[in-house]
Amino acid sequence: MSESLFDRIGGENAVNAAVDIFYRKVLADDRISEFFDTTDMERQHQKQKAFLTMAFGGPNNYDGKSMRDAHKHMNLNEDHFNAVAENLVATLQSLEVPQPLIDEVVTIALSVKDDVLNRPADNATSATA
Amino acid sequence: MSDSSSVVFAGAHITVRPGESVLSALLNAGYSIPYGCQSGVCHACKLHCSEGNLPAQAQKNLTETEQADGTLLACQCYPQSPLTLDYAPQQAKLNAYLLEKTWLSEQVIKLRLSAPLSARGGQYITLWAIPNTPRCYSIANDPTQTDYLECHIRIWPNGVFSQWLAHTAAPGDTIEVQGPLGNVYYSPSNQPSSVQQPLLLIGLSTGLSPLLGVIKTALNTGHEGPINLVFGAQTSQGLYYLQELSALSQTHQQLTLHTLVQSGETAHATTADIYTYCKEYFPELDNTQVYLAGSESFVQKMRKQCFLSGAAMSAIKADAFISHQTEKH
Repeated sequence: MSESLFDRIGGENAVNAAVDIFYRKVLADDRISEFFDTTDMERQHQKQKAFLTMAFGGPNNYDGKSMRDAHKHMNLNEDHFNAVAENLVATLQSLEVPQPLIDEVVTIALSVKDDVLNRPADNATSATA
Repeated sequence: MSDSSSVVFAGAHITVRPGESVLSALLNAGYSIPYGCQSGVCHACKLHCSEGNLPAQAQKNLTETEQADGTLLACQCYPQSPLTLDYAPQQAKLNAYLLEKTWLSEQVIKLRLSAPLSARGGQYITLWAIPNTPRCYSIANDPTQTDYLECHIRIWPNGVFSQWLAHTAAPGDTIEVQGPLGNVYYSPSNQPSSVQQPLLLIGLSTGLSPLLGVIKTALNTGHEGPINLVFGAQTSQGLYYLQELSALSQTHQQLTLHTLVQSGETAHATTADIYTYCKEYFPELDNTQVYLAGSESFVQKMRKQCFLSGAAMSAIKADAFISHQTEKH
């Protein structure tokens, strides 16, 4: 009976509306721009679409291991993660997404934090889709 | 990264070293695989995969059908796991006839070919005039309104194809053609507002040619929104087609021409840095359709600038021209 977050937030249309805004924000954020400022912008854009789809509760192929492997070499810390989360929230606010939905998106983003930062998981359950 | 993967080609095991492309490995092993740009653009090196998981990069920019079929580009394939590969089923190479060859400037030849295939202005075709030397050129006209394809070809002093074209080629010659490829073409959406949408086209040197294809198509289709063309070159030697462009902008009110040179003074153009100029004259690109053509570094830099100026990523179409000058295998 209840719709998924992805449906409530607007599905793929929401991702498409958000990705350019989010991408511009991270490029302008000195704390993390180096990770996003690549010469192959189309590929980077694709990656961000995939990330936002996952964060919006949509279909994705991410698992804990792939998130760890993808981010390991970047030596990320708490500040980097928080910067990305801030930009994500700011993007959704600029699109006037209702705060409760933003909160749900943040919860999903937090669920992959240990993997992205390559930390041991706090508890035994791993974050799988 | 990982150990070399097990790759079988046409029934035989081949060694692909870590960091080596399948194309390179096959050429080293003595196979005669056609190739051109080695950058994933010309598609001369298509192969077929019957078993295994292809890395995404190996299928980038192929059509959905091709991807589903297992087609891959050998120059972009860096195997991560075992693959079974073979030659691709023959891609149609059609015969075209050289209709006209005219010098537009000291550096550029206008080539008109009969059209054995249907294409849109701004897309590119692969010409196989010289064995094992495929070259891609953009279509600079609107082929839906003519019975020829027009290309503007930069003549390089040591260019195998361009020297053949300059000194040997003549009307009546047969040239094999493949294609078309590329997403730089005029494609209004179904919404009525797209006919009003501003178009911004920015090109360096012969990057003008696909942009001409787009503009001519847009005008023929009745595009009403403002069309701004920024045509730049290092110096005035790189400019060409200026009279024709001037005539086009006089006949069509919605077309505005901006001609730039990086250095030197000339009556025909404004001396300016193309990035600074575009930032100043086009600071906000929301709802604008952007077309870019020129060298790889130009396209990358200008794409980023236009995106940061508000153009949607999906509204930026670009063609990066590959130089074959340093081609060695």
